[in-house]
Amino acid sequence: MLNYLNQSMKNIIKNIEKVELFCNKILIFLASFFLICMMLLACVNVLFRNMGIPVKGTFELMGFFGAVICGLALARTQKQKQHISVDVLVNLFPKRIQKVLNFIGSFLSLLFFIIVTIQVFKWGTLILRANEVSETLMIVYYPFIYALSLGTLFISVTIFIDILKLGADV
Amino acid sequence: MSFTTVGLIGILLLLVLLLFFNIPVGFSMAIVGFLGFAYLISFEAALSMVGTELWNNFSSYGLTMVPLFVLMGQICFYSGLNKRLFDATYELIGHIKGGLLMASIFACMGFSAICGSNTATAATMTAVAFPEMKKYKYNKSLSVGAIACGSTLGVVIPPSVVLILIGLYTGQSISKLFYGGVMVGVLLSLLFIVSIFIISLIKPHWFPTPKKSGSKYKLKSITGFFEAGLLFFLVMGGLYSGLFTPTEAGAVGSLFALLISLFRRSLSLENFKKALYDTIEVSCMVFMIIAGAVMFSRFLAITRIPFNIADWAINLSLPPILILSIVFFIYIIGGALMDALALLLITIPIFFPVAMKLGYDPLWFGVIITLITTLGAVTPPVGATTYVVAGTAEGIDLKGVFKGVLYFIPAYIVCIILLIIFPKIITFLPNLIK
Repeated sequence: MLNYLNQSMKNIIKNIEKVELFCNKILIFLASFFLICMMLLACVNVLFRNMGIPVKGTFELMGFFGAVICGLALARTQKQKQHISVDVLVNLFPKRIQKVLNFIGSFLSLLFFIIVTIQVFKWGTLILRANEVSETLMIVYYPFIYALSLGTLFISVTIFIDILKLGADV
Repeated sequence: MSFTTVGLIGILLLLVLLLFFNIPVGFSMAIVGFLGFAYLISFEAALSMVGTELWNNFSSYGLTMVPLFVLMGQICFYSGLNKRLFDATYELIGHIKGGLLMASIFACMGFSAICGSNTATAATMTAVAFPEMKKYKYNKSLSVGAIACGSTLGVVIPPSVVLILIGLYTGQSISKLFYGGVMVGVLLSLLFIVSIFIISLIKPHWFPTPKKSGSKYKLKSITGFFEAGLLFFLVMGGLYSGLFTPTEAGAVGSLFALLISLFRRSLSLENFKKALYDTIEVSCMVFMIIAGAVMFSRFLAITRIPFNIADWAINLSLPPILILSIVFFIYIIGGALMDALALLLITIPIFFPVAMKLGYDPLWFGVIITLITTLGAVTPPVGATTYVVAGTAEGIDLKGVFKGVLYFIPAYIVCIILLIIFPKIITFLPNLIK
């Protein structure tokens, strides 16, 4: 019975992970697109500024693109274990204790990112309702805030999957 | 509970989250900042702070230079520029005793001038140079030690992500920090070369017969420096002349690196994708650490701990250089335990005000702590660069790499001492910028 439950749990985790991987591929593709746009925009601005016609709103667009690029990459960066952590001490503990400590650490991170997701989403909604626009281009910028919120939501999902995996192991 | 006590508990909690629960540095700082803010101000204020701070930092124009400079380095890395640099330097100085090791140091230095990643430099230099060193029967430990230490040059030689972040975090000119790093990188490289030369005198049998190459090949090899030189002078020249901002320098550098790679047909679509993905991951990691560090420093500012420590330090009846030496010692130990970037962002709010109160030049302090923390990349137990070298090199283990690094530690120490005695080494070039 216990084995059956364990196997079912592993199957569920596998399926969630497949969906997560697919979503991450889309997010990283979008982030790459914005990175190329950012590079080209800055270069075009240098060229035109030196000709006396600077591209209006470059600074604010670059900032928005930066938020989208790194926001959408949060989950993949977590998945690839690229967020720097200090595991010198944890590695000295027995494997089982390491898993318990990682479980608690992941749980705290998950709680934090759930809070962040809600707060960033609320912030975007506030900007949307206030009909706030950017300073130079006068464009609505709440979609960029929502994109960041989407990124924090996906990192929460990634951490949740990590917790499920650790739970299944422990 | 006094604000200072809460601050100290916060710092302790940060260490617990980092060391015991393996929570990434950026997340840990953000969590402690959030909790501290909630305790000292209110829970609602803390909720609002995390949302707005994350957005404000992620959408900051200043931070956009990070992905652009990282992209420039990644494009160069995936297009095989460091291999061409190594081949060129090897053709030029391979005939000198120990020339192969010196060539790898120069190649690391050249690649550092366009890519700020220690690990990328270490991985390729090991793959490219180590088989040659083995072929010519160079001492294995010394060989990998030279590669590992040479790879750390990327953090001090511009464009360096660490220097960018110090500039943004302490409100200093990034162009000036870049120019401050140039001389330190050159000095450290020369000290590495001197170390190799001295070892070659003491242990001549570690350096077998040098390679002979004709003047025709030497002349041809010079083209290997062309791309790196062009990119470096484009970026630094543009910054010096004020033609573009640091962010634009990163963008122009990336575009040029891409155009050169396309012209040479040295970058496949697959590798370009890898360069983009790696750039995005590294930038995301940096952005998250910055956002966490800002949340943490908001909390620290309320507790007034940084200012209290600075006041306490200047009231000590000790010479300023001694206090500074203690700070440097903490950075050496911290660098050995933690990634340089994370360590700097955690400690700058605490130690930067101390250095300023003691009357030290902010630029000098920023560059010298960058150099000191790079030592951590080659010292146990963390030593990220040494792990990469040991993982890539065949026929030598981690212990052997650490042993090889030991030969170059005196060079680091001499460099730090020289920079303390002659601070102008750092400040001379930046002061020339208007």
